[in-house]
Amino acid sequence: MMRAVILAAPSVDALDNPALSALLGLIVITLIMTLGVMFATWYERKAVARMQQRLGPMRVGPWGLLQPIADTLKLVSKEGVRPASADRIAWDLSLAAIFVPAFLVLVAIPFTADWFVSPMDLSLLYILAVGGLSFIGFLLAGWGSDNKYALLGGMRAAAQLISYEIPMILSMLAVVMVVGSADVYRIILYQDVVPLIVWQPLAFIIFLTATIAELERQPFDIPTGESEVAGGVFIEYSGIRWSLFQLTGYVNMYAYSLLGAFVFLGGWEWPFGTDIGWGYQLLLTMVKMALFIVFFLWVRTSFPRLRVDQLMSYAWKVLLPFALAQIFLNGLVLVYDLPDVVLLATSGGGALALCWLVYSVVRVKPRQPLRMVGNVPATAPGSVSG
Amino acid sequence: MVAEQRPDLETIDMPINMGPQHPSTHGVFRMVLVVSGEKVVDVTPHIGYMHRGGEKLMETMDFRQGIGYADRTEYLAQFSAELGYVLAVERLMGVEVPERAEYIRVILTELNRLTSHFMFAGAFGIDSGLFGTSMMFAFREREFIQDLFEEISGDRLMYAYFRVGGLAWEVTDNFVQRCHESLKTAERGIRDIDDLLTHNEIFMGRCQNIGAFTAQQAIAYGLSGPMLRASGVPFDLRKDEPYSVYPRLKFDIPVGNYGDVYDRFLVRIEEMRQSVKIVEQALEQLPPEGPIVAEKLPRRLRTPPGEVYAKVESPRGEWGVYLISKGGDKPYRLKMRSPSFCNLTALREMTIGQFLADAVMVLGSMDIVLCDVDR
Amino acid sequence: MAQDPQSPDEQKQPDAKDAAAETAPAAPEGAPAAKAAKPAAERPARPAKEAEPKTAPRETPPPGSLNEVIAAALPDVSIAAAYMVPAVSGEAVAIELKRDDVPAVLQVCRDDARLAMDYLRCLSGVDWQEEGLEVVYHLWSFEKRHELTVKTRVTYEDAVVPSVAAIYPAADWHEREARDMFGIAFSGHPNLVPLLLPDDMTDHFPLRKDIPLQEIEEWQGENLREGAGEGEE
Repeated sequence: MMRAVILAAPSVDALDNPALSALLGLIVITLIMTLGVMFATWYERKAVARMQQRLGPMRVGPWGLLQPIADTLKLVSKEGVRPASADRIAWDLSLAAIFVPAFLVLVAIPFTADWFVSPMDLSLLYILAVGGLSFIGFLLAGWGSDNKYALLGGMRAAAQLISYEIPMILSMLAVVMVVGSADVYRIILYQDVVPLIVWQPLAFIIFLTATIAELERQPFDIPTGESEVAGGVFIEYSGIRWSLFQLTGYVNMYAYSLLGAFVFLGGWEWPFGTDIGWGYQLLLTMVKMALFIVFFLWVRTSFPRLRVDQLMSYAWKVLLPFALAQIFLNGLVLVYDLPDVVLLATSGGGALALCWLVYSVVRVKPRQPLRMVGNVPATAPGSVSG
Repeated sequence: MVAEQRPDLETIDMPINMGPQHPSTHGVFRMVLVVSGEKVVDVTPHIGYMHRGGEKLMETMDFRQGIGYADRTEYLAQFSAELGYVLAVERLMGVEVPERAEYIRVILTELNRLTSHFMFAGAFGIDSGLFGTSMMFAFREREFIQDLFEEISGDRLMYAYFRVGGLAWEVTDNFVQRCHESLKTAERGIRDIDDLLTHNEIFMGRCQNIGAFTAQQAIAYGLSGPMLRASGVPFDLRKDEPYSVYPRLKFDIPVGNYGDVYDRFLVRIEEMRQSVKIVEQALEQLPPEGPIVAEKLPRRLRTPPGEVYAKVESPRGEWGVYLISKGGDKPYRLKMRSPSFCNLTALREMTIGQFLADAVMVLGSMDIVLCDVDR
Repeated sequence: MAQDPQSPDEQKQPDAKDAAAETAPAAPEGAPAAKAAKPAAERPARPAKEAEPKTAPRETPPPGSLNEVIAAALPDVSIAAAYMVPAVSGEAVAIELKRDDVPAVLQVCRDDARLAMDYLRCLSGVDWQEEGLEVVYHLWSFEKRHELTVKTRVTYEDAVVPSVAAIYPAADWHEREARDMFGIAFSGHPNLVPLLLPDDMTDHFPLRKDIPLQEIEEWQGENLREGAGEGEE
């Protein structure tokens, strides 16, 4: 049933009116995503608690499974406070500016071989373009809150999102060059034998890093850094508005994880092919998406936050040159029609070089270890002058 | 694209009020940062939100009641604070403390150093942006040691266990065994935090070369404890002006080379290892039996008139008690030289020119206790 | 002018070894050589409430002590008194100065190679009631490993002491605290605004003795009188 609704693709002809079917599809996907986000909050809390050797939510429902429902009820029923001096238009508009693009991205994502809201030839471009709009919302929220922390957070968010957009798009461009299409569907189909992570490891690493930055998750949570700007742009938002921001964050996490699963891990295609049925395909997609999410959580619990200058220099001085190099190498391979193994070799070499560079830059100056002083002259203090 | 020069659109530095309610000010501390973009150009620390007139209060408390207030002042290194206070009174009264009591004092003080440094490591991880993992690791082991303290003193936070001339009462029968158990878990905790943070690339990148102080600067600003040692001054009151039974215990003082935030972290981690060593030795040397409080102490403690400046090496640095007595059972004047207060003096100098995020790191690396700052 | 450094009632600390007794042995009332020069007339008569001595002789520092080094380095400065005060282990020299000599002496203490007192570990204000206000500096030398206590006294009416924040940056906050608590103005301090107290609280000095914690003391007088505290452990 649900399948019939979501499958609004023209080829399926579930509904005659494409506009109506797209609208229905959007509504359904919004609802499903909201539920998925509720589960994600529960899972995140549980998984992070595991990594930190504690239990996480346990009280509400079995294993705390009903915790997100309680949280949602609480958040929705909370009073929404708006500062008296806030810029009302910017304050409210920011919500839409962040919330809407996150869900619009989902329109172009093919969950299985024939499960998507709207097919398009340039779906990858669409996803990146619409997904990149959210920084406007952060700026609006930062300005509209009339709070210096929010302003700092908004500025940081704008700088960070724009900076990391570039290496991410370039890494995607490298993949598009290999596949020869900017349609996510075609990219998935291309990976029927070997997923693209094998041919493009460097692009994958760049994508993964830039994704964490785009999602503003640790260690790139500089715009919302709790210990510095105390929530950043969200500092003045409360109740339902705040929960919408959180919802958006998780929807983005799903969207980018799905994108990574489709573009680099083969989505529902690899390794079983297209013919296994939509159920298995969906399961496969979810598993690959979960890999990304677990990775994000793992990173979250293990790394401190970068500083803003380190963040910027990492994007512009490290990721961007490597992304450009990847494109250049792919171009060479394509122009001279070299075998695919060369792709692996060049990209893999680039990935290793990237890792080595990051490692060595941090340890650029070997530091002396602590001196251990065992015998301080233990002269009795007192009147004995030197 | 050239911006028109308009006087009403002048570029100014933005003051940001951080605290007194802020996640990373470690209590009710407020600093007004003036930032130019992300760079800090000026800092004005504001303290005193927790000022309770502790020194005045202690003038109204007799020498036994004051012990409880010392706890409440330095609430992360309670035993060190108590020890500094009772040392001052004992020195003025001329009380000889029994050996067993001295050893138990050292054991508890060093275990307390572990809990305090665990607290630092956990909170510092959060300051650096780690999502609570270091806090959880640190608190896990800290709980074991606090359980031990609770078994002995009957209280989880305000121990009030040391007395002038010894201890309040005998430790529990399984004290030695419980200490060994605590040490085992503490070693695991130290290792976990070490693995998590010390060689973490981002952590290193965030900590190194931040808030660096040379040895001369550190001395001039009156820093003490790990802050001073990280700057390369091998000074530890346990070695330099030994008190209690520390001369009989073998341990090393870690001394940093760079004086930055990272060195302060490393020094504290290494101090925890040394504390484990100290406790192990002290447990070996602990006389199995003997009095735990000096004999012939009067019910009402009175000191002869005089003054003394007693100091102990608390986890934060030199905890000094300047005690003036006019005779009688109360101090005439009691000045608490709190290491947090003195270390915080250097905040402005360390922070100016750093990034906003580094101001948080520098403050975190000072490991201040706000009750101790304000007294 | 700085009031006369009237001798406070520091007392020679009995040696820890022989002092298991509950009170210090009564010391003779006779003044030692170090404070013999002071006019006895300015000493306010304090009635002895108990048999314990309120003042005690001070031990003169042994020859070659820090006070002699300072006197040699600064011939103009007169050290009003020099005596030993107990430290954690052993004893340390304490000197009393006129307030105007404090910066010069501390400068010498820091810079003179024989003294090399580079560390100001503590700066305290003390209210001696009739005898005025006192500022106590505790100095330490990392190089020479000796410590020195410097004291100076001022009157309530003229409670101004030259700041040493330029010599020891560590003194900055300590002096602000002493101003908050005792109303000692430190002339030449770069930023002598309230530190621990509210910004507008500039005329109330809580740690002075003329602001007693009356209620607490009365309560203690009633409830913790000797003998009344039998129930305590």
